[in-house]
Amino acid sequence: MSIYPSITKNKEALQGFLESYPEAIRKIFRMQDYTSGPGFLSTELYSFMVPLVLIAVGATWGASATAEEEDEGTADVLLTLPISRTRILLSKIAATTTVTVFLSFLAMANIVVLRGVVDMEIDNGKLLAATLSSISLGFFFTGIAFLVGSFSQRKGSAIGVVTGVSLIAFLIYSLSALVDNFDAIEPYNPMEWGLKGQPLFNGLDGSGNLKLLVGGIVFLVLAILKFNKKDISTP
Amino acid sequence: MSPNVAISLEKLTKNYGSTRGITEVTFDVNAGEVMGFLGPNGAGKTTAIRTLLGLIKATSGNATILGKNALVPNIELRRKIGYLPGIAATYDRYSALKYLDFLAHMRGLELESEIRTLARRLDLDINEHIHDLSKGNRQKVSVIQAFMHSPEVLFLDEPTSGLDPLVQREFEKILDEARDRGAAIILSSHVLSEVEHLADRIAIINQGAIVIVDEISTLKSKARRRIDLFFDKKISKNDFSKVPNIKEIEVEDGSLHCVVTGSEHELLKRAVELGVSEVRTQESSLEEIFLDLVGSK
Repeated sequence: MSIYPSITKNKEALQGFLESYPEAIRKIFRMQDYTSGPGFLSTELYSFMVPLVLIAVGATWGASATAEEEDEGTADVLLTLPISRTRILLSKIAATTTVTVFLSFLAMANIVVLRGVVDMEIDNGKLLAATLSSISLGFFFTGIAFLVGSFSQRKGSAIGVVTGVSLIAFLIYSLSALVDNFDAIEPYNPMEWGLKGQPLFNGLDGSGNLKLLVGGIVFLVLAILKFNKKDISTP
Repeated sequence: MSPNVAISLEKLTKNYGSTRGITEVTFDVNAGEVMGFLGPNGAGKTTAIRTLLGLIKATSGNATILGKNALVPNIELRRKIGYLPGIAATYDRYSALKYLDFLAHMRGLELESEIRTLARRLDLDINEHIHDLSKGNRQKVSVIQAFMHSPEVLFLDEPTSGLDPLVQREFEKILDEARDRGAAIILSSHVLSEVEHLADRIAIINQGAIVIVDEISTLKSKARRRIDLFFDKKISKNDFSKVPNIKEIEVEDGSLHCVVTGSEHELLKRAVELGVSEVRTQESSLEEIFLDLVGSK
């Protein structure tokens, strides 16, 4: 955010400079209104950085939650304690979700504090909408990560699968503005559900967020069912 | 089933598909009894124990622990079980005390006094971080977590691995105390002398199937024993041709060397008839019995 004042000072020159970018680049990075507060935050943080950090945290923690315990051999003692596998997994889901929610609101709090310093106009409600959308995206991929982790017995492969899926989804979302062939899969891409509504401009996309939350819950329920039937491996 | 049976496996089978698991494993362990569980690496010892603990799902068969079905999750039953895995993995970022306290807390128990007592007996500094501990000291942490809540049933998979001889002796005392208070214990080990020393009975498993379950003394009586007989006169093999249970007979002037399997009564009776002057028996070690049984399978 520290560069924002220099952007607003040179607003017209910068806008002209950005317009000289090929349209494809402007579409991929959603740079239509880069010099405004919402445009700047959307391009720099909420279309890319914040969701991907939350997805990375969810993917790493989720995929590690059970696979890491098996990988390191600690699952044997843990799963013979007088606690159900469901409760153990729910605790790990709660821990992962708490971390992603905390990080989202930490990012939001930073913006709220700094916006006065850098003279940025941003609506509180829309900033909250962007934060909630990022949390929803993180939750969706946390669900996938727990499901993959419940099938996998190795932490590395579980993280690899989830990271790969999220990057492909993000690539398709980024290129969908340019590639017509992606139109057919656009409605099924979770990145579209979370990002396309541009919450910093338009507020919360209820339908997109609902899809992400329901999807995340479905994956987590499947993860719990699978984990309860899983043969725990040894390192 | 005897009312004293604490652990019961009945045709317990785990099929991994291409890899061997266990096939129709059947034996009981009584309360207050240590069952030595022997077998070569990959024979199925760990698979049998982990199936009993619900870590892996049985393909078929039945198993009960303290009268409850062991093959379905049972939280109350787990409170009464102690388990020392073959690989002593712990949360390395904790100190030994914090890790053990965490496990006690997960059991809903306050066990600091028990933890400190066991640590003192095993000569373990529980304030050290686990990642700084040697393999032997990490094994002590695992031993403590298995015993600290005085479980009624104990599954110990290679428990003395990495422990030095003095600590092993203390471990044996702790094991004896658990048996004396009525715990049923399955002790898996490849250290045959250890099992011979600690167990009341042994179960031998090979290629996923139980070869024999018996008391050690009975096994020894059934086992091959080398016997040397010395006479004051010349003897021949024909003198012993009708004696049962003997083989590998060698005769040298006034002595006969043979291997006996089962009762040696007829051999000794015939030897007395022929005026035997000296009898030497070489007691079979458990290792020889084990190799015999595994080799014959």
